[in-house]
Amino acid sequence: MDHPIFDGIVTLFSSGWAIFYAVLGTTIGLLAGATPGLTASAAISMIIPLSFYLEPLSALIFVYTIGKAASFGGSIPAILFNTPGTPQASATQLEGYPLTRQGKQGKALKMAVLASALGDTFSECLLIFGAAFIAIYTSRMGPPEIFAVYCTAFVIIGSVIGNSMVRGLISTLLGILLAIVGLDPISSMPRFTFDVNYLETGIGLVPVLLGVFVVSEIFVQIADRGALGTERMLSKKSDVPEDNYVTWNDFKRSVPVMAKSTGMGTIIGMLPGVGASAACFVAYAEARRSGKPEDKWGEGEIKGVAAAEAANNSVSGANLIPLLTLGIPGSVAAALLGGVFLIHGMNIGPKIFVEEQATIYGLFASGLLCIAVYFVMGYWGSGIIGRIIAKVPVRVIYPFIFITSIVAVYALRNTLFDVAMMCAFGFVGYFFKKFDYSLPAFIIAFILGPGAERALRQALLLSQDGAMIFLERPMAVFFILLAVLVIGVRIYQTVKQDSAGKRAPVPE
Amino acid sequence: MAARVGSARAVGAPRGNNVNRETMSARNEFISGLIMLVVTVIFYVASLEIEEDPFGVGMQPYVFPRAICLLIGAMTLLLLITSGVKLRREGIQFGGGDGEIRLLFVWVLPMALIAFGYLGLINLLQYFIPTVAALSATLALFGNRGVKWLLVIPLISGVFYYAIFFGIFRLLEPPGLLIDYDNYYLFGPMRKLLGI
Repeated sequence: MDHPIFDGIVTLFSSGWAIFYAVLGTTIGLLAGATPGLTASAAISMIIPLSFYLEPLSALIFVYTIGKAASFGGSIPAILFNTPGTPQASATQLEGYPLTRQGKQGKALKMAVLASALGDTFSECLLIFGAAFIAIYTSRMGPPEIFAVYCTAFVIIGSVIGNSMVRGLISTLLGILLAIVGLDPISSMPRFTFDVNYLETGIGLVPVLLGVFVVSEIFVQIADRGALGTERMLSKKSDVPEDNYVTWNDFKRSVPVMAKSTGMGTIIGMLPGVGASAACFVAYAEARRSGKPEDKWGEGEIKGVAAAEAANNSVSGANLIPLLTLGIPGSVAAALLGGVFLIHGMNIGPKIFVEEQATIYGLFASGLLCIAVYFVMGYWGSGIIGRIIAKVPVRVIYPFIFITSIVAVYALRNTLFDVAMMCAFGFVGYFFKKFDYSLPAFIIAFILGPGAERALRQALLLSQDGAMIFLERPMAVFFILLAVLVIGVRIYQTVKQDSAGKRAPVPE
Repeated sequence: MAARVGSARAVGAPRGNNVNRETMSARNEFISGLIMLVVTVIFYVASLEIEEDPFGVGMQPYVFPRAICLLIGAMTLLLLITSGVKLRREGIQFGGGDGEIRLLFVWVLPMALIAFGYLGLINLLQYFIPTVAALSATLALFGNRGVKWLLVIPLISGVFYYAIFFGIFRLLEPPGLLIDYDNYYLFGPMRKLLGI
């Protein structure tokens, strides 16, 4: 009974503010996730300026719980209105909305929260009991291995996320390029500052985040005028009592699917950048493939809701594993959490388990508290959240988000330059969305860029033979080969898909 | 707004064979490739101005940025060549994107102008009045009409924002060129009351 998680629980529950921010973060996450168009990343981006004013543990808990709860929150409008609140809820709507049309929205929402909580708990336990073991091995890695890991992460996030490998890699490289704007960390020579004094400290993380996640979405919404007046209607509930809750039979049928999906989500969550959107579709596709003939896929199969939700929520704990053991985030939400660690002067990487043990395990404990809170709120309150979302029109939400973003970004350094940067990055995000470039890849690379350059320069300082050092270390070679393999597989898939597309007849 | 579901394709959902989508995609790829190429060239030229570290050991400060520029340049050229070949094969002409451009000028640019106008007004009038005006203008741009939406709600929200950020979080307010007031007299008693 001497596992550090018990110290973490004590740390959490001995601070009233930490508990307050865990509950507040969960509530905001649920509402943000349930609001179509407002992703977890956008909500966290708006909260990060506030985190400067908080204690480190409270700030981390606040951001972590928003990301976690938003993952489930996205399923509420997916089930009720056929509009996923977050991209990772897109698979949930495939079976969830048909259930709503049959009046079984209560059953679908309750299964969604049950599967989410179970998947999330497993993933959180793996994080609590497994991450420190991985950290023991990764702490032995030197700069060459760390740079090789960075390269692999860049290749994975660039080539796997999104629809095009080339555009994904360009997004990643552009993120790295903009991350190195400012004074060189070793020689203090200005790089890409274009004689602007404000740029000497680099491009701030918060203006970039708010620009690409929030302002760009507002630009997209204002351009997409048709969606602004959309009214959301709640369907009538079924009068049959068992249509409004998860029966023992529903649960029994869904357990194998949930277990398999949780495993898939956890593994995908540990891969850098791949994230919950991919996990939910992989799990849904597998559940459907291994389904029984009597299953009603596409017509409201409860197992489909369970599969998608178990998978997308099991990502949220697992994607902290690469962040904390290697310094490489598994998702955008994890990357933003990494940003909060840096803001509060904590270096992410394997040593954090020793240097910041109380904070880290306090954060993990808050994850468990968050799951309990969103389970209670989701099980008994999803309908109420749905009614709130139905009443607040999009045309009112976005103006407030826009003004809040401007104030939040100004609050950081009291400089209008940051606001201008935020607007500029709003256009960058708009461009990325319109031309199908990868924003997650861009932002993760923006956060990781300086670390990658530092590792490269340290590795070359250690080396007598220049770049050959990367081929002299077995673990570095392994990661470089992994990167080559990932690119090879993606090229093979693209060529295969293109040739299949050419063979298929073009529809009239 | 429907969320992006691009991931569906990443896991093997069928790709659309629709010619329009393909050609639109090739055209977009070509245009975006050109924009990326311009950005890369600007950054590469700027990287030539990065000075050498006279006392430096190991890698010079310009090596990493230049390497990244070259990699982006290579990827962009690849994008331009593949999309150019597709465009040539299909015999597609440029044009037809007028709708997108109109949306950009009619809706997106005014939104950005509100943000920059808001910044300009803060310099003139300090924070409160520009916030109410910007919120009102944004609400109007999003299609809200009437005194309630364009005056009452922006006023109440302006007070709320002002109290939270400047009263509680003690943000510094730049002095306005036309109107200059010190919010300490407004928020001092409030902070005392809250024990901040």
